[in-house]
Amino acid sequence: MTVLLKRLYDIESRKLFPYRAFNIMLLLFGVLFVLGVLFFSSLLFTSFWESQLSKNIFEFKTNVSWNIITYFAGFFNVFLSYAIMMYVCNEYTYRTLRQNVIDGMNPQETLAGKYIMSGLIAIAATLLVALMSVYFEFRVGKLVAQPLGIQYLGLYFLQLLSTLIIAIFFATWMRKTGIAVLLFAASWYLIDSLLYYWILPGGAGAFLPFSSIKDLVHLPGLDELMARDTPLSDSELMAMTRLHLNTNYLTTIAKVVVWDALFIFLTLRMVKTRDM
Amino acid sequence: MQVLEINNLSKHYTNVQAVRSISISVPKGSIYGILGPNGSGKTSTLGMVLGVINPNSGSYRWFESDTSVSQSRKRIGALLETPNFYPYLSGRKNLEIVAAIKEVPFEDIDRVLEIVDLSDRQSSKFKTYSLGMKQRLAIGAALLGDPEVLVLDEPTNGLDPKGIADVRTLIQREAQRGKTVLLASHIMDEVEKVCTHVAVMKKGKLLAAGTLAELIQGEETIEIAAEDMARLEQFLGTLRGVKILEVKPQFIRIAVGEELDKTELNRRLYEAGMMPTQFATKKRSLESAFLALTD
Repeated sequence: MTVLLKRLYDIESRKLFPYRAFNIMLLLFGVLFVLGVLFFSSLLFTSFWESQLSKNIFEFKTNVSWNIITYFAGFFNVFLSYAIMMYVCNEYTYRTLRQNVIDGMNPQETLAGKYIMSGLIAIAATLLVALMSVYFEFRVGKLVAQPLGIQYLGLYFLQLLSTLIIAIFFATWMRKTGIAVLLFAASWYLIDSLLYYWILPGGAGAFLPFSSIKDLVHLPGLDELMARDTPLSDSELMAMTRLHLNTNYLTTIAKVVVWDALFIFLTLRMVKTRDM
Repeated sequence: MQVLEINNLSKHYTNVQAVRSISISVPKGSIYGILGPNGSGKTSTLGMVLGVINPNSGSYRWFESDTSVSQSRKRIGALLETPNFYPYLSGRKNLEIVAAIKEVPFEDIDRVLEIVDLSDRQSSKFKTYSLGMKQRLAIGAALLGDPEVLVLDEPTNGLDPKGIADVRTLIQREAQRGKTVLLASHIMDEVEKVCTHVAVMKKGKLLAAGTLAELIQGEETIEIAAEDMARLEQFLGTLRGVKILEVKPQFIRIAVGEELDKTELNRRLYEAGMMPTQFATKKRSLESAFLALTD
């Protein structure tokens, strides 16, 4: 198994590392995310706000700063999704996937290679997010007291990996970068939300793939609200019901894992049954 | 030993029956040509046995073994349709990917680059290659790892006359080394010059298959001419056992069956008052065999 994984990594890395357009997308993710965090920090940690905030040390039951950073990083996942779709679609455009099979890979291996690279990208991105979370926590450390929030990194990793799994599905399905990206973006920003709020009956929308994935890292403050000893006010309860927000992480994780399995199965089926 | 056995393989696309239940056996050490016009199903057939096109029915078996197809493919070097490489990588880097897939030592890359005469341009990006260079790189990739079988689909596409001659020499040299070559082409001259076995396909059907000698033996062709060519053509058309293959201004090419030998034909012409100005017996060429089959 390890030999196979190493071999697939070796093959895929030879294709990917010299691929300029792909590297630019990764760089865009890294640079924009880091700059975003630094910019946000510089806004928040001006001497005025620091002097105001330090009058009272806020005590939190959840790690709000890691929640903020992982939630913020989620907005940049789109760059990595586009990079993955470009990578997969190009294999169809150049007909190199077909040649890889002719040369001796089986169709499942060609797909496994893409998942391996997606997993590695997700790990690298999570490490960067962890680094920026530590930085942010260090900056707010003197203002707030909060427990360790390592679970947010796990949730972010699953969120990104699941997004990339769906990106691979769209790319394999459409085979053309432009169409795959358009369909992915439409599903992510439009179709899922339309179904969520207007079409599906109350609550059912929360089971949609993109909604489940987005729901993995909660809106900053929500966890804190739920962790409070004091019960929720009527208006807070109403807002949560209206947004169908799921506060049970395990349920959300289970939904996402089922969707991941389904998308991997459908992609594999496409690769195996379709002519190359 | 049969290197490849194809049994009743069929492929149907939305509106086209690309391959209709064909069966072929490719013996070890042969140069097996699949001959047919464009759209006859040659590439679909090769695509199926290489595992990139799913057959609708039928089966195939490589090396008389039931091991996985991908394992068999590592013993095969193949060029199917067009050269497919990563345009942003150099020729050498592309071959490194092929070598990694085939699990072949990278040292072999220098050998194949030398064979296909691309050593000097190995560091140039694939997208900067000419069509002929791309084709040569694809042939080089097929040769990586010194495979037992070469599957070459229209290998001389885009090559200049010297390149074409080089590919022919290469195919013959590989066969002399005991390799098996499966060659698909629509160029009859190419197949006739190098192949030991031929399968003729048209519109997805297998019209004939066997050794080249079997295919071109049998009925000879006769080129015949007379002063009144129109009358000659009309007369030949009435004779039993005569098949007109080709009518040219200078002569008419015919095939005569068992019912009529050359002496008898001459006698009949004489009785009809026609003195042939040309009566030449020709050994049947692959071209005439092909035309007779596909007519």
